[in-house]
Amino acid sequence: MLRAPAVGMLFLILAIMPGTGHATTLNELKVGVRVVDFLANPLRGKIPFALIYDAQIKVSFDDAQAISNWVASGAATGKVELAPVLVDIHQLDENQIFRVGFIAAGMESHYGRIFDYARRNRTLIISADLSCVRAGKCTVGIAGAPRVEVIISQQAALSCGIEFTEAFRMMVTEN
Amino acid sequence: MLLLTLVPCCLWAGDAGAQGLDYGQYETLFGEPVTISATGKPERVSDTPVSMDLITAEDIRRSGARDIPTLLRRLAGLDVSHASTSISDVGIGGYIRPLTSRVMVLINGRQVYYDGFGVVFWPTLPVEMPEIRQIEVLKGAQSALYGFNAVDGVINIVTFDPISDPVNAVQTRFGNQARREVAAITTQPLGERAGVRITAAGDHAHDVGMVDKSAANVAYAKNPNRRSASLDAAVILPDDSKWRLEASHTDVTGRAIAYNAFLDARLVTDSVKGSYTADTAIGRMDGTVYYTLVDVPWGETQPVGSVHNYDSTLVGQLSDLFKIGPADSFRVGLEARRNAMTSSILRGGTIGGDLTAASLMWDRQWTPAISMVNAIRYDYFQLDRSGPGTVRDIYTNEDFNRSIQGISANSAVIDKLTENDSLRLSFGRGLKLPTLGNFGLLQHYVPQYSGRYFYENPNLAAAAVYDYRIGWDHRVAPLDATARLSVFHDVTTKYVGTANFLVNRTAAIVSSMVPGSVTNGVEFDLRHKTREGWIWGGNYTFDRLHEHFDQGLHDSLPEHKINLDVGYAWGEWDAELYGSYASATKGVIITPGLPPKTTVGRVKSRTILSPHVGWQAMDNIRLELAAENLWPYQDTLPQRMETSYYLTVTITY
Repeated sequence: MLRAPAVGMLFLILAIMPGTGHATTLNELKVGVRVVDFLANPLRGKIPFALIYDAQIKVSFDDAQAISNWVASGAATGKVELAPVLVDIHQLDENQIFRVGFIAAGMESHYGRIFDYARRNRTLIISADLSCVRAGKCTVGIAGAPRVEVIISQQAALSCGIEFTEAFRMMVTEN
Repeated sequence: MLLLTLVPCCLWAGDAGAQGLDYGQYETLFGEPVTISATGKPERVSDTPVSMDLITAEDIRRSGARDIPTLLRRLAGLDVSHASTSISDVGIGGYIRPLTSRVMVLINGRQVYYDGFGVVFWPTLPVEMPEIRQIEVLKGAQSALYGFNAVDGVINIVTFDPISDPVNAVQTRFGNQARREVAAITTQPLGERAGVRITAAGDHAHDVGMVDKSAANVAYAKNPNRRSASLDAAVILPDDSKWRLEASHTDVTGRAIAYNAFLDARLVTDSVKGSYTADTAIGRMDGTVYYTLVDVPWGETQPVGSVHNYDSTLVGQLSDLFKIGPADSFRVGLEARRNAMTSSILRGGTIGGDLTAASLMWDRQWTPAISMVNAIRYDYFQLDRSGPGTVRDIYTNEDFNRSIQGISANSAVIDKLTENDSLRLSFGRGLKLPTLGNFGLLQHYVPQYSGRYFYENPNLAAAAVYDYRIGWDHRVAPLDATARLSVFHDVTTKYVGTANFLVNRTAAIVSSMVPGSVTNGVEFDLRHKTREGWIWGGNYTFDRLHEHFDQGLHDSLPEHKINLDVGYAWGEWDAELYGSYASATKGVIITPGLPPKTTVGRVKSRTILSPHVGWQAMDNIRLELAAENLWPYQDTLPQRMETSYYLTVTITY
């Protein structure tokens, strides 16, 4: 009888514990960088691509590093040329203003702070953790398997001044 | 009641949907093909509520097929019959008659179904296989999106985008029956945001397979020749709006069956189309204008002699696609068109019509698993005629001053029951307008029917076609395959047929609306696709047609159809064996003479076996040896499809 509550408690602990998110897969990253191509006001030139991580969370740093390598090597590309920049969450406001950011794994406890930054700087924030977009803290959430899914938070998009093309909006899930 | 019908059936198309979509970009993003044909809004094929089959460029490459009807025959629920080695008819959902199409066919949204004739002459399509991105096949009435005549289904051929999908290839083909074909395609980028693709092709073969080689028939044999040239150019402007210009010319000769006679004809088509797509503050706007000419410098038949027809269509379409809130998408469309046919039968006169139409589509995502689309369209058609009329005219031009109007509707829902299961339900009410020819082209003396005259009729009406369809898709994980089971029920309220009348106190036969038909069918398809290793698939179709009015070919339809294919790809090699079976049906027998006599006979069941082997000899050179059919077969009585084999060499650069 105690098993079910115990399992539930374990899941709750895992959910709120920082640094437990799954590492971003290459497929998710490919979807994430391609989403940038569908902005209603397209980005031109070489665009700094903030990979936001927490230096104090190893899984987060490792994930950001892997993402950076993939983007730099051309494994994940879209029409918009992205230049990866590793950005420690603790130094987020000290950096240049980014138009596009991707949240590395294990950053659940920082979603609020990242959203504040995005709102101030009109930054498109993408995450492979769908709970972020469902909570309205990221503009775009992506899933790579078993089926590619793109979820847009209308509320977050509105707050951050992000607009996508009409055709793209019709092919993704908005909430 | 077999009467010559050079120009049978239906007319007009409608909003073809936005074509400015960058298919490649979305396909790369989602990892699956996308479409805009199904509902008029862009969507992933797995998401669409409408029952759709898709033939991809990879399917085409691996098929060994050299023409589109051969590819279409492989799909469940599609019927293909040949009038000659080059001319074929394609039907969906059980209705197929010579030179009569109830299927709307488009290339990038431009109608290639010819209004005046009510037919699709497949060799006149200005498109070569290597430049096709995908062929989208929608089953059932789709008039609410595509207007009059899309009553049994829609086939939209989508070509590669000249900006983002360059195609550079030369394809040559040699085979028996003196077959020699060549197609050259080149795409020139004009900077990063513009491009142009130019295509030229020429095909030739001998006219073989005429069953009754009496001199009177053989006189109508015509070697199928085809010349085609096309241009497709696009430019993306600084504001990201997109212009696209398409132009084409084809010149084709061939032999068809015009119900009770052979039709030996030359068809020259010219078209130009301009389209503009832009994201605006009020949504995604699409504007399209196109003009198509179909010139038949000569069409020879035994009963009528030589005919010269000239059919022109000018179409303007405007649509706005927008999304309100997270779940509701809308598309508002307007269309205007002018169609006119000038004919030597009308002694240089013209019969034509003006059409105006308005449509609305509403798509709603009820839950992540359930979405629904509803569409409605209103068409108003004004008929007219000018000039001297036919020789023994019983009508005045004033008799043609009348209008026909009607409402089409479509509704479809998809429920993704599980990760592996989708259920689709759809309803369509389509409208089928008689062709311009049906309204008043032909006036013909028919000696074999008591020496009476046959007259067309400007008072014909539009006929409604109702389609009800249920489809279940299931992912068979252990086989890495997809299964689809569909059941459909079609009701056609009435046809263009004939009735006996007294005209000027003389017995005559006059085109009239006659009772329609019912078709019921079941389709099952199972398919496994991969780039390497085994590829296999097959489908079975059972459909039964019941016509309320006997026009001689009563209920003629192969009730059982089976398609099977198995292939293997390894390294630079791939091989496939395709087989097809169709049960017996009925067809017309053309007995030569003046006039020719037509009787109905039994078309025996037929089996087709088509193997092919492909070898990627170098990165840019592919060789393919194929047999279209290992032994002769007949899907019509006047024509036997002889064994055909050929070698194809494709060089890409």
